[in-house]
Amino acid sequence: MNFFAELAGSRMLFFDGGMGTLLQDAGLKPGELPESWNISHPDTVLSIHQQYLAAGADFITTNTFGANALKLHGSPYTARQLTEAGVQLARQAVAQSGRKAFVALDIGPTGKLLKPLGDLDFEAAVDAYKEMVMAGVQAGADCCIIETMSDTSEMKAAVLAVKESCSLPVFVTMVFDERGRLLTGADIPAAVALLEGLGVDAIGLNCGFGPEQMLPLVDTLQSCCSMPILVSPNAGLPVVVNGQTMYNVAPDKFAAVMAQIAEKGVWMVGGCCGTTPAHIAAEVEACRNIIPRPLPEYHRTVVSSGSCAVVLGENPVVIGERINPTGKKRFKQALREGNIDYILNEGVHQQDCGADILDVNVGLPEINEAEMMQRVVSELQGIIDLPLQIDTTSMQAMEAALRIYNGKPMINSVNGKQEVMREVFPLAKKYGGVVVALTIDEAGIPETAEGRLAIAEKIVRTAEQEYGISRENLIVDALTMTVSSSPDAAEVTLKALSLIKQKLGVKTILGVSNVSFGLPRREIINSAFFLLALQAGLDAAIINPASEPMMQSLFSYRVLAQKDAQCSQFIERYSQTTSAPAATVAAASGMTLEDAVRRGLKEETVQQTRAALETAQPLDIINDRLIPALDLVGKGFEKGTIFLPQLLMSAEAAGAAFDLLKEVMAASGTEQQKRGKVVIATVKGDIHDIGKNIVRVLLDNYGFEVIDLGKDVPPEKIVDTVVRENVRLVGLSALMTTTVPSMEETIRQLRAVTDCKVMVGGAVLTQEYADQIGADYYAPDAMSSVHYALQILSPEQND
Amino acid sequence: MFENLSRREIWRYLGYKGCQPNEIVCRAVEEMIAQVEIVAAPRQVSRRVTCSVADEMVELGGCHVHSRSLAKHLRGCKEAFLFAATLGTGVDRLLQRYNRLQVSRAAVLQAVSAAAVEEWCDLCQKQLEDGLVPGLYLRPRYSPGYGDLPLEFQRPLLESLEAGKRIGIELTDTLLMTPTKSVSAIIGITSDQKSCTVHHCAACSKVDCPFRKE
Repeated sequence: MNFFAELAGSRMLFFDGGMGTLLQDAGLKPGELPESWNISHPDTVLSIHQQYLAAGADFITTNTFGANALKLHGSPYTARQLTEAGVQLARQAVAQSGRKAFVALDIGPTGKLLKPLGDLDFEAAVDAYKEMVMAGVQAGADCCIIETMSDTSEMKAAVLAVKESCSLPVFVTMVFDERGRLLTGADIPAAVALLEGLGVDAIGLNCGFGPEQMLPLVDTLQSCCSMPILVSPNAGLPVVVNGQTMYNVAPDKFAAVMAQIAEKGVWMVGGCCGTTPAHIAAEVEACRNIIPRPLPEYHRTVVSSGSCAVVLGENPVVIGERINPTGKKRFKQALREGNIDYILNEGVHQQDCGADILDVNVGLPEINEAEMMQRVVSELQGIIDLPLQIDTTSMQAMEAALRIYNGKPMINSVNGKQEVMREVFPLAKKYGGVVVALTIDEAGIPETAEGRLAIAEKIVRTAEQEYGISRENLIVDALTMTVSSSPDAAEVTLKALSLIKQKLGVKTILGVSNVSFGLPRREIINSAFFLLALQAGLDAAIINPASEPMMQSLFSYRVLAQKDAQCSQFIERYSQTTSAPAATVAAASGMTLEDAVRRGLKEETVQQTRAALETAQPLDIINDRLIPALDLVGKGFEKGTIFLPQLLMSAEAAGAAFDLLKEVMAASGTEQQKRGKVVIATVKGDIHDIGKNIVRVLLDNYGFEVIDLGKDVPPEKIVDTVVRENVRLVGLSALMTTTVPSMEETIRQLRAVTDCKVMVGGAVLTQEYADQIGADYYAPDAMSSVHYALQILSPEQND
Repeated sequence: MFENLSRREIWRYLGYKGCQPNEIVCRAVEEMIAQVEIVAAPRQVSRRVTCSVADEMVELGGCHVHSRSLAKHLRGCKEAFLFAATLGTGVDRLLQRYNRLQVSRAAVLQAVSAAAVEEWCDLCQKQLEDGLVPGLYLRPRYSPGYGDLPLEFQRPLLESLEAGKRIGIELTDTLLMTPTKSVSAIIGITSDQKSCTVHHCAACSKVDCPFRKE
């Protein structure tokens, strides 16, 4: 047991107050690195620690907030030097005080936004933090405090860095806004789910507000957090006086509100910006005799994304099953081609249909599953805010995904086999997650409900006793079997589900659709069985949310079981009488395929293509109708009579038609001849990629095989791809003058190993600039890149 | 707060010079405005500092920067606001979604959010100006990267505003702001009202910019 587990809750504990404000008072200049004073002005830092100890602080925080390598722009000191010096000073102050006090290694944000929204790699953040933590531990820190955090992903990197470097207690405090959200979007329950899953020792709030404004946030935090809570507000809201930021809440006023906060059941209090030893002394005085209230125990089964939490058990949830290649030819092809967009579309579609969580399975023997899993999880999280369920039998893939997952995921799955529990539970313990537990073991799937209960019992016992994973972090799957092969299958499953819920007090999950294998009109049976399972207490169903009968069962159940107050969800979903879209009316008025493409009407274009297929071959439709229609739009764009949004809408409408035709051709065994491969990328350092994406859509339309490497792409990756795929044309985009050098470097590296052509584009580029950096072609707009590609890769077809 | 965004400005960003898009594009613009309204979390931070201007040097609250164009822009100002504002990560996430799945919408959203962040800055600037004593006015915003004001000035500017901690603006290694729909600027405070009417395009040296306003 660490010292903190023993100490926490035995009495009120006190952190120290602000450091930066006191250093400024002592002469720290604007722009000067506060941590450099650990080396240049050690006496000042030491004296501040001493004052806080004298004020009664139990924990003093090292002056290392920004001492990570990513933040030390141009400092003569390394992160290691600054951290060591900082910890030593705090250690020295504690030793000299003769008090029993603890040194908390202070860890702040990296000062960069992590991918996918920023340019920092998750592992680079972990590494930077590890460097600090290792130096701090060696210098004698007693615990770590990760504070002033506003990004869940960055917090996770910091916590992992601590956990992978030492076994010291770790506390995390965050800055929420008045609506209770972090700057990057997570609400309080989502952040708590993540941190509890990671197994931190205390969770809290700091900075941002004064104590008054923190009161409601403390309430929200307490309503979902079962861990000790630490609250360190500023001395009020900042006011700027003569260019200086000031905090004006006086020590006695500060302390009075802190006592209210402590009375709520907060075990640890301190201070942040603008607080001084006087504030802490007053706080200690006001709170010292408050007896810490016992912590609430919520036992909630909860998962989270980067922005919200989903609690299982209150209302049955839908886990979308569609991101899974099993039995899906096109999905498999998308995986083989690295076509992530296809997968993202499946995700967005399921979200639109009402999924609460998305299952993610990308297992295919011929691909690198770990790499693909990590990429898909990261990209899905970039655009969808639903929690994910990591579904794989490969432990490499599971760990790769759990590591970068922003939040607390579901993990699919463990079962009663010792070997599987040995692999899965340690990962679940380390990264956090709700684990799906299948009632199957070495002996197979028991035929009776009691047999499945016995396996569930074994899994729960093993998780709790051997791995310290409590049962609220398990969700048991009693396994749906097929009624057409064993008539009592559904009954056994339902009975097992009820038994398991009743006897073990765990949440339950089922993949529903197995029940109807071998029967016609499977949705009829599926939706009926689903309703029975809900009635038996099912908490989560893995289904296709696009299946309307299934969703009807769910929404009806919610109404009938009093889980839909005032039937509002039901009414919202089913009261809309969907009027026929305007496009359909136009169809009746005899719109041609060409018209539909020109006007950018997607559904219309697909309809007209279907109609055309009745009398023409797919290839003829492409060459005689779609391409000429697109050419016409392209010419209009070049003449300035058609503008970019229309050009793109036409391209997307045609794209939908191409997709349909491709399916038809694949079914009949023919294939459209591809025009050759083009690699496109937004260069390293640049995160604005819309121009590149526009080019992708148009090149796609014209039948090129586009390998889109994304944004912020290192030169090496572009070169590797070009060489490996034997590509003859590369398109590079850069938006800013600061990233053009990286374009130049990419071209230099390409020239060294290949003679492929390079076209470039982007807001700051000009013909002159393009020549200067050695590009073969400057594409002033999207259509020009199509013409150049045609000229290079299929010259005979370029008119 | 963005329902009244200037449609004309959005169309201009989309490349429509003096003409109105067709009905389908207009509908897409309205859809994207509605979505920005939902996902945007506008935030701003500012700091009033002293300002002194020499030929090619400007001093802002103890921080020195070499820039002839900024010096010209701030001529006569004794004080200035350092300023940063953002629409937050929600807009970037939405942009990312459309960039992957429906580029036509991404193009429209790009234009809408560019107009929205300018609108937000205008609103903030108006509030700053309303807070001044009568007789003081604000010059147009001037951002790192304009004229010869180096992009490198982003770092000291944002650091002195604690823009990372307070409103979530961080810099990439290449000095681009994340979230991408963010603005950083210096706003001169002056008693000369006439010097405040120029649009900030006029201060920029990129005269061939397709979006330049005359």
